[in-house]
Amino acid sequence: MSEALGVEVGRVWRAGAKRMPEVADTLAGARGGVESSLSGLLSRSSGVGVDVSARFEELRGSIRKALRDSEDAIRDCGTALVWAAEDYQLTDQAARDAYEREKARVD
Amino acid sequence: MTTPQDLATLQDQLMARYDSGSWGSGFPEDPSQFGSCFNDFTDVPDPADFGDYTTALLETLKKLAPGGFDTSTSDDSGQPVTANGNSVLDMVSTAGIELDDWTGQASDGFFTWSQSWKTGISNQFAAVSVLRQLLHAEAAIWTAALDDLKNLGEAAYEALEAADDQFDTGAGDITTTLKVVGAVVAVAAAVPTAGASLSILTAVGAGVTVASTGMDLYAGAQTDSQKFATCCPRDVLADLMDGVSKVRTAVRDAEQKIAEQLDTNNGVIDGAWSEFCQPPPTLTTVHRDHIGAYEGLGTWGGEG
Repeated sequence: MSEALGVEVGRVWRAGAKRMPEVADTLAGARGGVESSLSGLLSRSSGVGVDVSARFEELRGSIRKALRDSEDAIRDCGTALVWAAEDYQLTDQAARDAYEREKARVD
Repeated sequence: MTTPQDLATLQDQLMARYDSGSWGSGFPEDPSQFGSCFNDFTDVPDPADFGDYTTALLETLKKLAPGGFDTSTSDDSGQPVTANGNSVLDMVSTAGIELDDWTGQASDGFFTWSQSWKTGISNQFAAVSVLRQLLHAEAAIWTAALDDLKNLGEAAYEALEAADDQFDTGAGDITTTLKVVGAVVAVAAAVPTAGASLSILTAVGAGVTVASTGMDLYAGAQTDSQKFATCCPRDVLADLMDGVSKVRTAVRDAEQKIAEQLDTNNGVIDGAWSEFCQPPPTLTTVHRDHIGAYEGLGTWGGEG
């Protein structure tokens, strides 16, 4: 194994440990806008108009689920990349040293 | 902006005005309707409550924005407000490119997934835009409907004053404009589609501008009107209830357009869920013990 591989594995680790969680956090933040139910806002008991609250709730629920599932996928990707980096960095000392330097690098 | 509670107060005032009047003839069959004419509208959605929701959705849009976009709002000087795309989202495709030199079933799959991932997010961005636009349309309906009812009530009060034998103002016919008729237009509003594959997501156009100060109805939107006779309370009440009926019909028609748009969009999303929310790559299903094997991240094809 080589120092070049260590640098490469460091990039894998950074993608998994830094970038994927940051994207996942962004999606979690985005979900905040669709967490609140719209039923109370749109409901009425008098029968005036067309009660659209169930339809709005379906759309909101779909968006919320998609954001949650996308976030989970990103977090799982990040975990898998970190696992892979941990496995590869064990191959030899040169790779391990390069890997540690890459991890410590400030973007 | 008129609230449902304002209408409850107004109908009490109408009832009191009728009870205190001096009427020689033209008595209504059921004068209590002056005090209950707006009952069905006292628990409808309050337009003042929509702002918190649409503002929160705008923050969601900013986080999901694949590129710059028009926020559908205007600033204090009336200028459209735009927002930038969120560059954090590009980290996924960047990670895929950095892993491009790895060869293995899961790493190859991850690269492919990372390069198309943003399309799903763009579809979600478009869907949030639709949700926000349709809420704007709902707010426009109730803003216009409650304003119309308030104007009807005030016109009826003025007509009662004119019909009162001891308080005859000498006013002729009184007419008020009904704006709710044009609160929602059938023409589809623009949905930001930057990178979205589900470009058939649609939203009705709301006859409203979203300003920093709240929602304003478009000037010059389609309207109807209601004329009030001033001869006797019976005719005033008949004209009032006719106006209320027109508002009720206009609200139903406008919300029907929104309901149809919601059905369309919900159908599009259900029918193309994998485009709306892309399944995770194989990488996420590889067992911890196999992540370093060929079916996991695989081998590095770069400099040895």
